[in-house]
Amino acid sequence: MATLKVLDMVGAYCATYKEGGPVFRAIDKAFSRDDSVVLDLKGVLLTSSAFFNESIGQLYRDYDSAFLKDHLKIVNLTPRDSFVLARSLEAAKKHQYAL
Amino acid sequence: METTIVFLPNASSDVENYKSLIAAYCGIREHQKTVAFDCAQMSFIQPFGLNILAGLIYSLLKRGLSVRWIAPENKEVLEYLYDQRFFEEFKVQGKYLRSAPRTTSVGLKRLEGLDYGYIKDIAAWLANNSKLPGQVIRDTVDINLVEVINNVKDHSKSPIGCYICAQAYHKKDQLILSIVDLGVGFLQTLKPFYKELKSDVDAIHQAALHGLSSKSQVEKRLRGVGLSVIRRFSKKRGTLEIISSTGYWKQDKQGRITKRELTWTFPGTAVNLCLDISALRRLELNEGEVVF
Repeated sequence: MATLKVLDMVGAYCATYKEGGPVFRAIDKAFSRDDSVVLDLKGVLLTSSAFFNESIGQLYRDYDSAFLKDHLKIVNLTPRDSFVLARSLEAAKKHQYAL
Repeated sequence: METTIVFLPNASSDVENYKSLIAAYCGIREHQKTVAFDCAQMSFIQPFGLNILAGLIYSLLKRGLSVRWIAPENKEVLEYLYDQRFFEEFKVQGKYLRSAPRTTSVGLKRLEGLDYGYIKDIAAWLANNSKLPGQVIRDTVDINLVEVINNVKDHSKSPIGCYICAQAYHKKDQLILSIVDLGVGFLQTLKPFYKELKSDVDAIHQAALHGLSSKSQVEKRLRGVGLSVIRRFSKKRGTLEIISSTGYWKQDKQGRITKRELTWTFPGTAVNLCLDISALRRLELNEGEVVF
């Protein structure tokens, strides 16, 4: 089980695709080792759909919902983060096969 | 040779009020050199009107034209412009306007991309002005402004970036956020990738409901969720209005959508949010169950 702290990886402001890229690559790398991931957003002050699209939504290119349910846990999400992430996941599932 | 752009008395949120002045703006050519902005008769102005005023002035100054300023005679309007930092954005020198150096103040602001300091400042300023809890305002600003600013930066090709203006109206129980750019609009951005799009309003509708994005097609990555985030947030909390070129799209508080074609062309995109302060206070952000 790998714990990835977003604050340490890309800082407190995660509002663009730029911050999402390293997070995506780190999760993808852990998955390729068959590790599960706890993604910790503690200390993150700002997120956006762009960040979640890049960091989480891209995972749907290679992994399905069942795999992600088993292997990815996201902790310390604020209600605002959850609201935005939920929209990003809706879109990711909808466009899964186009990615 | 001087062209005059006359602001009508009512610079409210109704886009039709700007038809004639935008037609005058679109007709301006470089050889005209000087443009007069005649605001003398303006007796009412809201954030959308201020964004249009600022956007057009900045655009003309950027093109190298001189802009002559004819101030509003109405004292309340003049005070509003001061309160919204219009005269920090534009300096009046004699009869002419100059682009002012950037300030750290909030109120009217031009942005070309995300400015975290500004996002923080405008949230604090609105919390103070709206008397809403700080967390509610931070959520409102972070969710809506961040998504629109990202959209402008990523898609609009706006030569001015965007202007943002916000205001709380206590008597009307409203918080208004307005963002205006002078970019290419939704249809021009999306049409090369979605041949089925027929009109500007169709392009707005598809982007707002289904998250169409040109970049998702080019980069084969997940893009274009921002507008649907704003649409979901504003449902139950207020109205969302999007104007882009000839397209007019609106979602009311109950989620009902109205759309129509304008008979004229807005030279960019406007996103106007009119949120109920009481709804913001009452409703928790509970539409966010994360399901993989």
